[in-house]
Amino acid sequence: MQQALSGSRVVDFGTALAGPLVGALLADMGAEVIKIESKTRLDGFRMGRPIIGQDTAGGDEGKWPDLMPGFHAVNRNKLSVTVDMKTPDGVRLVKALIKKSDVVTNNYAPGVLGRLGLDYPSLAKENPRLVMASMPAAGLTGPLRDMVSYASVVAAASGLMSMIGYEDGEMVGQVQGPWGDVVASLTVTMGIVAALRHRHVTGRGQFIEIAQIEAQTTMLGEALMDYQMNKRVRGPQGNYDPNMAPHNVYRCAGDDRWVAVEVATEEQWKALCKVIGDPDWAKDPRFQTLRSRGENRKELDQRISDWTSSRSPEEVTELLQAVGVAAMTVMNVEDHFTNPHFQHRGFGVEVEQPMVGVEWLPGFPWRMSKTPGQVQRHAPLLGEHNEYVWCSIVGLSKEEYERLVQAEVVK
Amino acid sequence: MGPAFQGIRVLEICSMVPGPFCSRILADLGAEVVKIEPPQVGDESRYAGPFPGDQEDASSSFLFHYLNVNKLGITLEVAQPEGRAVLGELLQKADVLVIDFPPRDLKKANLDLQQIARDHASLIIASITPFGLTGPHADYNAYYLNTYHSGPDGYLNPSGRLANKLYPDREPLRAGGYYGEYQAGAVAAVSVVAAIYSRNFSGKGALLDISKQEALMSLDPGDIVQYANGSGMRTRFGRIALYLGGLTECRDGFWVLQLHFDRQWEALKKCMENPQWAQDPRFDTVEGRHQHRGDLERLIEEWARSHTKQDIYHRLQQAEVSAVPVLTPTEVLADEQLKSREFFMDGAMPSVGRVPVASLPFRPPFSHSPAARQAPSLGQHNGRIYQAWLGYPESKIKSLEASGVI
Repeated sequence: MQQALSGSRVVDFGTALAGPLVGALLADMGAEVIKIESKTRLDGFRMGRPIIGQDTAGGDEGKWPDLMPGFHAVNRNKLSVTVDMKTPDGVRLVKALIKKSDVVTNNYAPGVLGRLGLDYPSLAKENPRLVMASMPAAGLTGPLRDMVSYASVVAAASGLMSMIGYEDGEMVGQVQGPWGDVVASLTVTMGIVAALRHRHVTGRGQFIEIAQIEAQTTMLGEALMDYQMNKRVRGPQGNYDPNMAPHNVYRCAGDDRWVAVEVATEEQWKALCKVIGDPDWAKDPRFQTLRSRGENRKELDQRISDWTSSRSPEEVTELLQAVGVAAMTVMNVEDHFTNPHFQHRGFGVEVEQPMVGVEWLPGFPWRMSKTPGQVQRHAPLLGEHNEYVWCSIVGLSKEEYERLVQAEVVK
Repeated sequence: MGPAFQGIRVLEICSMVPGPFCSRILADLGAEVVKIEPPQVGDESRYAGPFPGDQEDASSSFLFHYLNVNKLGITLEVAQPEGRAVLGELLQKADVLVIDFPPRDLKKANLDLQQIARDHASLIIASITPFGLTGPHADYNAYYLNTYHSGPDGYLNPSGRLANKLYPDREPLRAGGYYGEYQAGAVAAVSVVAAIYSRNFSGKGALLDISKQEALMSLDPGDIVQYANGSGMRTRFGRIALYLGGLTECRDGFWVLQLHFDRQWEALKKCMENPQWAQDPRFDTVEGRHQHRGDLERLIEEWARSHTKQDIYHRLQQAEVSAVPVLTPTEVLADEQLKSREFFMDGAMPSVGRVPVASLPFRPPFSHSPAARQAPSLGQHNGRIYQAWLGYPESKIKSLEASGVI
């Protein structure tokens, strides 16, 4: 089936999460994405170690680079080649591949590709239609361009981390989820597609750079304007929202089970009161307006918790949604698999992977009516497509290919 | 070179964060974005604040202004028949419709997205809803806590050393600001730019069904794929970070360390001037450091307490150790790095004056502009759009205004 990016070829130097997610989104949309790998410096996501000490035990038997589900999730639909870029022949091969490609993407630190002669000006001389993207943490310019960073570092530097915490406490210091990576990946992906469109109109490729910290900061715009104009540091706000009350996550029956409830209008407040049996406390003048409920939120939250704590989050969700009140189970991963909504939407996909058998992978972030993104191919085994890429795309003869394998340039 | 999306016309029927952020991105990329708001009332974010001096004023919400710079604004009552007819005419002239009505509201407004897609074969429709257009939760009412906490991370936020120590029994927290909502908007923008690109070749539009919950899940699949493929479930108490360090106190605040590899540990030891405790053989291997992480993190923190965050930052970064101070938004605004990259555009707001507006993070060449067009006041461009797009004479615009359609 014709997909949005069918016919485009992408050379993907990404490692870990931020880089590979760009290639995964492009591949989901139909691009032929070739992941450049090396057997001596594996993508960390292929490894049980050193990142997760405990997970290495059962993984080995000499095939562990091909066993990690986290790797498979963000490298679905791609091809893999292995090449030693420390050799001139290796660099020559990669250059030849880029000459026949539309896009190069990477999440290396500034300067890494340049030292290999793979900087944009050199590549564009050979291929002026090339679109290339880089995503260093702090950008390619400025005093911190060489900053070493991972997701939590990006969250600290963007301002996001300082906003997470309980109202009556300090910040809690860990942003759950690698959002720095993910937001950067989304931004780079849209930049690449926008540049492809620009190329379609003008005939010329271009180089795109995004700083991961800036990508995250764009999602805090109103807070930054507030701090700038009102000259204050608010600190963590918990789950408080000045425009809704009740507005919190409430304990339910069961082991660490919770429900999120948000009330925006008086109509919803009245409906909620009715569901909980119009108790006397709810008639207190302090709970009659949004403002006064917000001011008295500590007591309000306690009252709501008293009601939710003897019920399952699913029951609370059902009772409140039936009368138009926004409520939803706080879902752990188990909930995602038992929830009827997910079953109905068919969010996940099962993919046959040669080393591990049938494997569940998450689906695509949007449904496209006419050119659906699809998981059509399992994440590649390390170097699985060497022969196809180097012979059929780059055009090496069988003999030359064998020579480069012998010389461990392709390895 | 002109901006990438010059000549693309976008209609936005959305409130609050995700839809408006999606079309703000398209506007920054050069598209002509027309925001359609309900007459008299407008987008909810006009009332959400934060406001200058905390004075509630629908003309000066920072949230509204941030999300709606570079757009044109019109009013239209899309739910009533006359307004619906006007919308049909606008859709004839548009390339993209971004809409955030859940199925229940679409029905109430007599808007059938499938039908609109059939009537306008080259139109790209991006629907952004909490749980998608289909399935048993499609009509659930949900605001941002509901969607964030039903995604991959809400339950687990916060977790980690400090959170577990200080708040063992407290409720899961949101991600800060409207974070998950912004992300859903960015996902929608990626899907729209891809559809616009694809249309160059196919000539066909698309109906994009974006579930905010799924958008979050597909982007952070780590725990979900582990669980689905037999690695068991992580609770927020069992969960510790995959790296060593995390939020750490120092003399004047907090900083974050993210330590993975031997070479980083060796470099960190040197930065701390090789204290006696760091020679402990328990800390010599990755496994050993993980096993004794409690001791190790406490000892690193003890060292950090006698240093400032700027000192730690520069010293560790020089040695290629991943460390950074936790910046408040005030410090972000003053940050030399962002300043040197002209990250903030010059924006203006009525009754406020000049304000810094975060730009899209693309660096050259498309989109970056030193100044932002002021976000529209309610119905500000009614005359211009109804005349230029639809050719309505002034008398017709006046009568639509009088009957409350616009």
